[in-house]
Amino acid sequence: MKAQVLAIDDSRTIRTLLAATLEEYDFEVTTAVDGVDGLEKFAETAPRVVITDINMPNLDGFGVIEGIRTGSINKTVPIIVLSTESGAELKDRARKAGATGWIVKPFDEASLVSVLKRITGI
Amino acid sequence: MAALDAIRATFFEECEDLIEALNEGLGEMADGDHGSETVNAVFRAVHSVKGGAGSFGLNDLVSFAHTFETVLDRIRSGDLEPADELIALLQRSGDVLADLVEAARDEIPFDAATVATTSEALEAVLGEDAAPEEEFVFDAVGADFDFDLPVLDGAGSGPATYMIAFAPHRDLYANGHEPLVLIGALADLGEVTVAADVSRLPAVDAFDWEESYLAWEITLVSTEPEGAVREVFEFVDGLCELEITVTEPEGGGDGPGSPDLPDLGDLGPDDMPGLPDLPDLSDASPAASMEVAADLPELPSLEDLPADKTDIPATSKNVSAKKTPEAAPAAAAKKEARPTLRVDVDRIDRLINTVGELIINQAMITQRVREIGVPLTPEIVTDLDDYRQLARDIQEGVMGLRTQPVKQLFQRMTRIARETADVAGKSAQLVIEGEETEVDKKVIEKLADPLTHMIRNSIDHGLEVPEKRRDAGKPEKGTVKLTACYKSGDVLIQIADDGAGLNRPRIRQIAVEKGLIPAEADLTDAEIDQLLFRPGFSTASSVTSLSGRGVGMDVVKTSIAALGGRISIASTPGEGSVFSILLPLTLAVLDGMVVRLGNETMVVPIASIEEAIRPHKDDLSQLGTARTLFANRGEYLPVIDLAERLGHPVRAKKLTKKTLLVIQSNGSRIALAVDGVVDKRQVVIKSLAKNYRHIAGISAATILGDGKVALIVDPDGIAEDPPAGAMRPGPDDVHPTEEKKDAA
Amino acid sequence: MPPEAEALAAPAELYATVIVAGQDFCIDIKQVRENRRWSPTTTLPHSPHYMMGTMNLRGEVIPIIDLAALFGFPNIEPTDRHVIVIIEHEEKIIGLAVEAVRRILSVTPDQIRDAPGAKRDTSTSCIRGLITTESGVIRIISVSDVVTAMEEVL
Repeated sequence: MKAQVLAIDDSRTIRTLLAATLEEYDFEVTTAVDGVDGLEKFAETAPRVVITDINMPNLDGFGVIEGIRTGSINKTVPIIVLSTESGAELKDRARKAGATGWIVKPFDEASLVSVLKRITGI
Repeated sequence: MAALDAIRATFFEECEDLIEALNEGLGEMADGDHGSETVNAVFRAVHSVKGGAGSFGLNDLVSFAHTFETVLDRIRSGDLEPADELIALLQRSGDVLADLVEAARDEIPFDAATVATTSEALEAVLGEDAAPEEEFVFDAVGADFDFDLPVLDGAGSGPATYMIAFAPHRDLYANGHEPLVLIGALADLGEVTVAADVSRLPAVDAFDWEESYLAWEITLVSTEPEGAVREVFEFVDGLCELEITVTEPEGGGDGPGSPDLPDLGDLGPDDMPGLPDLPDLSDASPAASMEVAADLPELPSLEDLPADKTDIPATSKNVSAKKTPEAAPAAAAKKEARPTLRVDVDRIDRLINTVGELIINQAMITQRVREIGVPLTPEIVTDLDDYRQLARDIQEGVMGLRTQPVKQLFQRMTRIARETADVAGKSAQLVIEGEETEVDKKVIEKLADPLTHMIRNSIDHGLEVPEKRRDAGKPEKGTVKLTACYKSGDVLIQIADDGAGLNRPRIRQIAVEKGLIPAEADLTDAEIDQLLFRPGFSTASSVTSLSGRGVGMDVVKTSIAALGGRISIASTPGEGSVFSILLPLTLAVLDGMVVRLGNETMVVPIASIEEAIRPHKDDLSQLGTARTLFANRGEYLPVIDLAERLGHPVRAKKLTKKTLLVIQSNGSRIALAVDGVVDKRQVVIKSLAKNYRHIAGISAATILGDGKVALIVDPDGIAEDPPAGAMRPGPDDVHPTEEKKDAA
Repeated sequence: MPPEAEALAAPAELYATVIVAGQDFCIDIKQVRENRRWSPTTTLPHSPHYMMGTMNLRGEVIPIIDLAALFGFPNIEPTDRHVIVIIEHEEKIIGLAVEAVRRILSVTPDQIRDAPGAKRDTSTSCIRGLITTESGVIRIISVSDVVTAMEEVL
């Protein structure tokens, strides 16, 4: 069975890019357009990994992490934060919020795959 | 990456939406809405452009978006006050961003000077704080390398030995990390020997599965630099106790290296000498496998319980309610989430064409059936009616596919208005209403240029300068209202300004100077207004760089007519002018009056026909030898014989035997003589210019039920042929003097 | 029409020969879409005398040119036997009314001679070359010049 990845980003471009890249590596990708959608899809798909943007409408990435980590299902799922900012402060905040790892946008295929591997072992 | 081009196309499509959202948000900010949701939406739009642009290496776009975004971020955080000047700068920046996107999309050069100026202006707003912002983009991996640089040198000469003491905190597991994966990543770097420290493991009954009890001593023999080893732990920094010590390979005499080696010997050979990798790990560390085991029952048990699943949506709702207290954003999200389908316009156009054929086919079948001459059964009549109705339903549905809201078009006008006001030294605001009104996509595309011109005109020529407005007791800031609404099957677009109104004496004077009208011409206000649409008329007494781009209102009128629409003016001195554009909802169909003209059949748009009359002899009066006037409702209308105007062979037929169509054109009325009215019906518009060329007085063609082509009359074109105004008599002056005007 | 192609030296181009005012003309077959029987046309106002009008070709409104009139002969009196050669040029679809379509000629470039005389009027300017065959001289119609003539506004 293919490993499920949930990709949450309000940018259609980034969603498409993530899906295209990950599908090439034989992941099965579900996308969500914002935080609320992301949490709903999370409950539906029980993904192996979550990749989420930070700045999104309705519910931001921190909200998504909080929602997952304080939930009862699959709460220790690896969550990778996708952000254009690479500031130490942001990383610290992401880590404190419960993010497993982060990728700085723009990401390339190699870094995306390497981070995924480092976090999930897949 | 596969299909990168397709994703690139997606990016530019998305950019259109983002720019739209950006302009909308900036508009709201300009209107005084500085709420966090508004500012955040603006920020997000720019941020998303930047994010996507980065993926495609569009560096100019990224760098501008970054500066722009930084300013927005500061407004968002309350550091910067969104004063009017700043908002104006943001709007200019939005325009620059749109230009950069366009340049990147079309791979054309952009106006580097404007980008640089705007960028500098944004940086100036950020002030001295702009510098640290640059440092914000740092490379985490690079930073970690620094203090270990000597090791990098050593790494070249052979494998180094890393002693890694790794003790996860419970947060490490909570954050979704897995020691096995980390150790596996180390194993990828070289030879790994692992020993688990299970000393803190409690008795089974005291076991808390969320707690972290294990620690590991890992020995890695690798040629990789220390940075690579540390990178493995990048994400768990602060979530564990981590100590990495390095022993140089050949540096046996080194102080720090020597004491380490015995340790290595202690751990390695005792456990599994030749087999250091992952299988060992599970064997050597029962606690680790226990960790996994503890995890495993967790998941299936939850999946078995559907009740638990409902927990998450509930949680998510709580969270969302907490983060977005206002109801409005949630409603907006609902709207956004409505599923849509992006379809190539060509495919829809093909479908529309086919449906057009279907309509014609339906009309032909109906006609053929009637022509057979057999008595029709009620069933056949009903079936034919049903066929017609179904065909119309399909047509309507398909046409609806091609419509889109005028929103994006209108928002582009905000920018035009802003730029025009800046250059013309006017203070102006553009108020938009009815932007949800849907019009055929092709109409929208073709409306951009005429609308741009008209907005420029309204601000440049319509609105007065602030001082004059103040003197006239008006607010200094002029208002141009751009509205759209449905009006009995058509779309009405209006551009209304609260300026000085048309300067009719001046317009008249210009027209005389340009030889468009005789000096003594007696024109009504409406007729003077129509002069604006005459070719060769330029309103600006001094051609400004804005309105005077060589396009006059005549071009605007022609473009609108090409869309099957009409344009009219209403103006009140001191109060302003309203330009009204009436457009068909869709381009492809038209309600027409089918008329006979000798052996030819033609179609006259019903929208332009006020009434169709068989004239009485007494209502007709001769004016000279060639002109006839028709008295209608107290007004004398010039009679135009359609056949004659179109150059058909002249047949002597008395006007009283003909039908006069009273037509509203350019603010005046004319009586169009045709041989007879055949039918009223909806016709599918076919371009004549596509395979032939434009013909004066003809707007397009259609195919009638018999399969023959019928031309569609352009009433304005027909009425225009002789100079407008020169032959329009007012109610009281049907005198031979009119003849002089004609001759002049 | 029987496609009895005359076997001449390659690389040859194919031309469809048509009869206009009793004389032989030909059209590059690459520009010919199809041939149709004559059907009544709708008059096009303000158009040159060689514009016969417009007709419906499967939903497309196409103009019909009277080649005889264009070449300076009297206008044809169309009958059911007349043929409309449908040509395509720069995305425009146009019908050329001729008396008949005869056969397909295979012609090598060296068989084509320049048309004599300067481009004085449409009767000569729409001819871009001559082919000499056993049965006489065949004039090659320049479709682009025909289209230009059609677009001329009176």
